[in-house]
Amino acid sequence: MRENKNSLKLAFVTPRYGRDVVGGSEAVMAEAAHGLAQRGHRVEILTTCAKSHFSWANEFPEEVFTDVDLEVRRFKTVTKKRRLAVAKIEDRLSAGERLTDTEEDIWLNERFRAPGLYLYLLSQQRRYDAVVFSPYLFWSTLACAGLVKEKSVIMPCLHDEPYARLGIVKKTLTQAAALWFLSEPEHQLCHRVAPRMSPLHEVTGAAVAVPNSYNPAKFMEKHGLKNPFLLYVGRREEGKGWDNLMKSFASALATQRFKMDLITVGVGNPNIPESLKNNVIDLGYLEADELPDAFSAASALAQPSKNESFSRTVMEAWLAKTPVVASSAGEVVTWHCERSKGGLTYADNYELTECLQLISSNKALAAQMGENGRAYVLSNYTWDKVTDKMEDSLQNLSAVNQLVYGG
Amino acid sequence: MEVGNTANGINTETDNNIVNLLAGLSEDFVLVGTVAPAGGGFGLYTGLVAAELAMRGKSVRILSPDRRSAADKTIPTGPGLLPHLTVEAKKAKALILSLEPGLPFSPNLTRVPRAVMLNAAALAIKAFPVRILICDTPIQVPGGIGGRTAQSFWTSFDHIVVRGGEDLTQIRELPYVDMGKVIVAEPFADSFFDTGNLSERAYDEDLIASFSSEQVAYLLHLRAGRARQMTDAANDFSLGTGEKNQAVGAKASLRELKSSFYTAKYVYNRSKAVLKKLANGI
Repeated sequence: MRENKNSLKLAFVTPRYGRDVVGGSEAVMAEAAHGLAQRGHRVEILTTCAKSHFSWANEFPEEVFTDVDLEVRRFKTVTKKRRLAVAKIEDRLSAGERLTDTEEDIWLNERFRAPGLYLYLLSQQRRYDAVVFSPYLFWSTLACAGLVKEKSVIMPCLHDEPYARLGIVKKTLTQAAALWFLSEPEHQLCHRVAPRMSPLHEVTGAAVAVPNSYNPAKFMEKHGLKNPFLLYVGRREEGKGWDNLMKSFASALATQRFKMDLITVGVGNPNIPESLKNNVIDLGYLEADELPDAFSAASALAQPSKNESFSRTVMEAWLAKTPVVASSAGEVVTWHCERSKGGLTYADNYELTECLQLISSNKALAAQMGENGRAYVLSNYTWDKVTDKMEDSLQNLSAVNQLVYGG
Repeated sequence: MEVGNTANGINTETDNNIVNLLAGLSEDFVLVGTVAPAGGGFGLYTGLVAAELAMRGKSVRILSPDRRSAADKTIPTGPGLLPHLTVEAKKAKALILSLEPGLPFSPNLTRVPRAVMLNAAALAIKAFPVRILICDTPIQVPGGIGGRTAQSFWTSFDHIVVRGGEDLTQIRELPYVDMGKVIVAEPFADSFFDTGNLSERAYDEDLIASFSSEQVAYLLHLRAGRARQMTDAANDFSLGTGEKNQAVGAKASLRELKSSFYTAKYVYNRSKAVLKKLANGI
C-alpha cells in the first residue's frame, strides 16, 4: 500500500460482494475499492449477506472482516413475500406505464432491504469523506445515497430501461454529489434521465485486469472441445439476451454457412432446447483464472445484451485478441465496437449469420479485429487510468466539502 | 469534517446519555415506530437511537408501519398492531415505542375505539420487562375524557423521551405521568443545525486558491438545488399536501416537509458563505 498524504476515508456500498458473486457493477466496485486502497486511501466495503440477486437470501454470515487491504462489513437483508405485487408493478413498468409514488415505494422496498446497512451509515457517516454507491437500481443505492447527499458518489451503471424512468431514480441521481459513468452513452443517458445532475460527473470507465498469459489449447483439451466456437459469458437470463442469442444462433446454424458451436459459461439455467444440444454446450461456472483461456480459445465473443453500461466480458475478450459479435440494440457495446474496430454488430438473425460466416472464413480479418480490440482496452481501460479519474473526482468533492462544512 | 446533515442530533451529550441509559437497560430491544428514510427528522432520530444501540452491541429489531423505514418488518397500525406487540414481548426484553401520527393508534379511529385500543395497547406494552416511549413533536395528548382513558397507556412506560419546550409543558399537565421518568432529548430535526455566522468562519486559503471552475459549478448546483428544495417544501406545506398525505406510508408528511426545509436551508447557507468567500478570494 502506497503512503498518501491526501488519504481519504471511503465507503463503497454495493449490494453484493465476494469472490463467488457474479455481476458487472459488483466486480467494478470491488476492483475500484481495492485500487484506491492500494493508493493509500482507507476503504471499507458496506454490503449485504446476499450472494444471489434473485433470492437476496442471506448466504454469507453477518460479519466484519479484512479482505487484503480493505475492511468489509456485511449486513443482513430483509426480503418480502409480496413477490406477486412487485411482479405486477414490474409488468406495468415494462409496458411503459407510469407508477404512482406508492407503487414506486413498493417496488423499491419490497424486493430487499438491508436495515442494518442503512442504520450503520446513518450513525457512522461522519467517518467518511465520500461514499460510493452502485448500481443504481437497488435499495442499497436508492434508499441509502440520500442519507449522505453531499458525500455521495453514484456509479449508476445506468441502462436505457423502464427502471431508469422511475421518479426515485431521477431524484437519487439528481441529489448525488458526484457521478461516475462507465461509457459516454451512459453519460448521455443520464443527462436525459436526470437533467439537473451534479456538474461533478465524469466518464471514468472501468477496467479489467490484464492476464499474464493465455492457454487456449489447455482450455480446449480440458473441456474436450474440437470445433471452433462462439463464446457467451454471463448470466443466462432473458434480460441479458441469452434466449434471443440461442434463437438467432439456431437460425444461423441452419444455413450451414459456417461450422461453429456456441459455448456458454456463467450462472443461471441455460435451458438449451433438445434440438441444439449438439451445438450449444454449457460449461457452467468457471473459476476466474480459467476465463482468460476461454476467451482466447473462442473464435468470437457474443454479447447479445442491450442492457450493458460497460461490458467487462467484451473487454476481457479483446484483451485476449478475440473479436466481438454484439447485438446492435446495445448502445454501449455498439459504441465500443465502432470506436475500437474490434467487433461486429447484428440487428437480426440474418446479420448474425453474416457476422459468424465472415469470422469463420476470414481469419486475418478476425485476428485484426482482435488486435484492434486489445489496443483499445489497453489505451482506455486499464486500472491505472480509471483509478486516476476516480481519485481526482473524490479529491475534488472532498475539497468542496472541506470548504462548505469545515475541516 | 462534518458533512451530511442528518447525524448531528445524537452526538450531543444529552442524546448520548439517553442511548447510554437505554443500553444499560437491556441487551435485546424491539423498536416499534417509523425510522429513516421515512419520518423526516423524527425518523432520523429514532433511527439513530437504534443504530447507536446496535453500535454498542445490542440486538435491535425494528418494526415499522411505514414500508419506507429501514425496518426488519412492516406492521399494521391500530388493532392490527396488538398481536405483533404480544408476539414481540415473548422475544425481546425491552420495547421502544414511538408515539407519532398513526402510531400506536390508527389515525382513523374514533374516540371510543381509540380508548379501547389505548388500554389494550397498555396491556400488551406491560408484557415487556422494560418499556420506553419516544414522543414525536408536537405530542398529541388528548384532553378531557380522552385524556383520562389514556392514563393506562402513559403510565405503562419506565421512561418517556420528549423534546423540550412546549412538549415538556404539555406532559407536565398530565397528572398521572411521573416526571421522574421523563427525559428531555435534544430537539429533533428542525433545530439540528447551528448555522451560526457562517461567513465569518475561517477557511483554508490554499483550498480557496486552488478551486477549479468545475468545483465552483458544483457549489452553484448545490446552492440552487437546496433553494429549489426549500421552495418545494414550503409550497407543499402551504398547499397542505403534507396534511393530505399524512396517512401512514404516504410520502411527504408535514414533519418530513419541515425537516426537508431546514436541511436545505442549512446547506444553502453554508454554500452561500463559501461562494461569497470565493468571490472575495478570486
